[in-house]
Amino acid sequence: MFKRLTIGFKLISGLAAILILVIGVSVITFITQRDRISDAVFDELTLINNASRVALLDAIDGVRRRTVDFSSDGFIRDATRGIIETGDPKIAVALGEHLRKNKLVLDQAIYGLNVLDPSGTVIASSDSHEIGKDGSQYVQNIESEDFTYGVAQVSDFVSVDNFGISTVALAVAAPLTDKTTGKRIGALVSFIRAGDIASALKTKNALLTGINERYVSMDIFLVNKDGYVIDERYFDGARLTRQADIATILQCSQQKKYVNIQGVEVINAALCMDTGWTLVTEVPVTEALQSIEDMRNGLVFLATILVLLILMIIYIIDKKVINPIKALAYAAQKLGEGDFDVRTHIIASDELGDLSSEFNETAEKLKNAHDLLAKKIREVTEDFEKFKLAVDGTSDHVVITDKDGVILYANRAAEETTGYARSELIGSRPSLWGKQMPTEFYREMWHTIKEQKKSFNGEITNKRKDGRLYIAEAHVSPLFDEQGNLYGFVGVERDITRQKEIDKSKTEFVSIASHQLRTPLTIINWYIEMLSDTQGTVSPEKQKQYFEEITRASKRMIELVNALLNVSRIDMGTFMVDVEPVNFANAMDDVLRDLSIQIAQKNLKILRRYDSSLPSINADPKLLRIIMQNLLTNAVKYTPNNGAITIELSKKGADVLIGVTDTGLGIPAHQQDKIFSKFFRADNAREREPDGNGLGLYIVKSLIEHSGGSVWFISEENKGTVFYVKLPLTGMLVGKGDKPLAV
Amino acid sequence: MNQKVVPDIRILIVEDEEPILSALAEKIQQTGFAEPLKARNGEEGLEIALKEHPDLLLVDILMPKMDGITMVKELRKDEWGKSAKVIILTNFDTTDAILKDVALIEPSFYLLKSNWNIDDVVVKIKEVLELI
Repeated sequence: MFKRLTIGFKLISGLAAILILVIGVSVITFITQRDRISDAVFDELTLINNASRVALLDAIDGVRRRTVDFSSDGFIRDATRGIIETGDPKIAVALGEHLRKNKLVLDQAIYGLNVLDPSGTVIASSDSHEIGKDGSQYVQNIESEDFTYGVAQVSDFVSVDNFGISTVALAVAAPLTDKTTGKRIGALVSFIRAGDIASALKTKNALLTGINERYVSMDIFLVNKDGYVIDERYFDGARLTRQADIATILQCSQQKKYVNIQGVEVINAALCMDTGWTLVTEVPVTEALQSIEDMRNGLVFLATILVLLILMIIYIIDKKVINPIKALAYAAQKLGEGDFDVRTHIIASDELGDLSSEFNETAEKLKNAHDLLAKKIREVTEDFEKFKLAVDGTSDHVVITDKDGVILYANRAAEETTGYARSELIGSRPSLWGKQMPTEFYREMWHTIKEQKKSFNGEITNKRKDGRLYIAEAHVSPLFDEQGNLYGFVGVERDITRQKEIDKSKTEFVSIASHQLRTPLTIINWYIEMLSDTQGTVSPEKQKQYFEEITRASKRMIELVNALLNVSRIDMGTFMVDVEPVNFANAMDDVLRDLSIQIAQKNLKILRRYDSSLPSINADPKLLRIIMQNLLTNAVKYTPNNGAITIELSKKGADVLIGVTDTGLGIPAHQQDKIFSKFFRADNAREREPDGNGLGLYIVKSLIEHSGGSVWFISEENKGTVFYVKLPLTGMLVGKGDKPLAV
Repeated sequence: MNQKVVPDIRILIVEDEEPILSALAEKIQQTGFAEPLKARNGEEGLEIALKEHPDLLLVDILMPKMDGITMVKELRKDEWGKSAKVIILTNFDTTDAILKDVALIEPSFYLLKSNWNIDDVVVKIKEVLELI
């Protein structure tokens, strides 16, 4: 997993890294530079020490040479011998005078001259007060053989209290010898103030001028063998007050830095001299490293500036770059989420500003394109929806397949026609409900649609999911893409089973009707033919019989024609239903009256069970008459002589119930379900009454059901039948037809 | 000529329409044939035919219990009946669906009653019986 880093973070990290690098380099540079400068300062100080030593030794050497020079002075030598030999104070005074006036003035560095006898006692001096003092401490081994002319001894710095001053001084001693014998007769000692010597150290040396000027606080001082700093600043009269750091002296020229006795951190260089002295030059670190300090301050300043600059850059970048980028990113995200109204508000005359306006333009274009597309899609979808609704809703079965016949689409009618759910149809092939036709049929169909690329039309028998067969008028057409490549087929089927049935039943109706019409016609024809027998063999009885047959057949034909007309009007739904309040009992009695002859002939017993409270009911009297007539005629026709017929009229709930019970033939059980069919006649009825046309009950049932009622029966062969008719008390439903039915 | 031959010939009429049955029977008898055998439905007709082996059967189609076509089909299953002479007399037209099986029962002739005079029917009977 990589952590996602923001530009801001990367930028700040980068700048911080640069900052750290710069500061690091600076610090390293600073440290190395500091060490380097420190070394340089030390080297300079060492140089100064060397120069100082030369100056110091020069100064001392000058005094020594002067002293040696004085020791060769004849007057001094003679006077010394005279004092030693005679002890004459005048000579001592003269010598003292000579020393003060002629010698002392020659060298400013020398502040006093003493002449010692071999025992070390001052016998003459530039200051008469010194005579008689012991001066042996300034001369070592004054008796030594080596202490000869030209040699001078330089003492260490010593505290002296002579010549009226108390100071720290150096004593330079040279031997005095007899002019003639060369024998050592004493010594001449010159005194130089240590302060003067030390000031020699401060002598402006041309070489070192630059250095001296650079280090204002530089201090050069001499340390004697005892570790005291030889500098007038530290003299308290003849007393040395300041002891130098012993370690410094011992380490000689190795020390670089230390905190001096005054508590100041200094860089110093120490030089150990043969004389046992140590020359020390020191500069306070602050001053010595002023440049590096300046550099450090500069660096700190620069670093601060740099940090501020970087912070400023970060701030500017954040404000001018990162924030706009974030705003752009946010806007882009919003745009991606489909908010086409999002705009950025970055006002800058740079790439980001350009990007922002580009973004806004793009967003605008996208919005327009999207709106256009959305509109198009809406239109197309609406069109498609309409189209789909149309195809889905059409009563014809529509199926679209790919070029291998696999179903891609099936409409609702396809589900209804085949009985398969769309989920079952899609992905299957039309053979799912096909395969009922001979193989040649399908071969021809495929040949037409696939090879000839033409539409195929035909009548096809298919099988529903529930196993029922149906007949369809099928149109199968190949579908081509724009390049003319076949990519599928569309099959439209119209279930014409019902149509076929209707056609068949119509054909059958015509067939049977014409058959039924031909029968009485045949009878009429033949009997007329027999009547008109030219041979004259027809007896009057026969003639009567023939006429009767002709009359019956004619009547039968009229009845049949009326019935056929009624059936036709019933089937087409064009018959008139014109209601008015009808007293059912009266209507029934009217029908009975019409049948009274037949009833009497057969001696039938009629039982009328009418509910007297039955109100008048809205009914079409003609229709009601047809219904009652058919039921009663059947009862009379099929009831044997002396039988009984019971007629019942009653209220049953919201209905009026008509019951006609006979004691007749009854309907054979196996034919009961067909009794209401057009032209159907039960076998026993046909045998007994060949004249019937089989349309009566069909008409009754059709009329009753059309009026909102129902009809049913209970029957047992050879026992009798009871027909029930139920009509609503509210009356018959009024139909739309305008054709009256024939009675 | 006719009078000599026909009395030996027995004809079975299978017809449910009584007036037609009577007319045919009467005419046949008048022509000189013996009184025809009569049946009023296919069942009865088959029974009489197989029992009496008539020379000719006049068979109606639409009848109760058993229609004429079924009756003749049954008759053709019988050794005698297979070659029995049958004239179908009906009021169905040949184009009617119910008659599509008529050829299968190999009738000697088929006639549409309403289109025929009864005298011509008798002539046809004689023709089928090879009497003329």
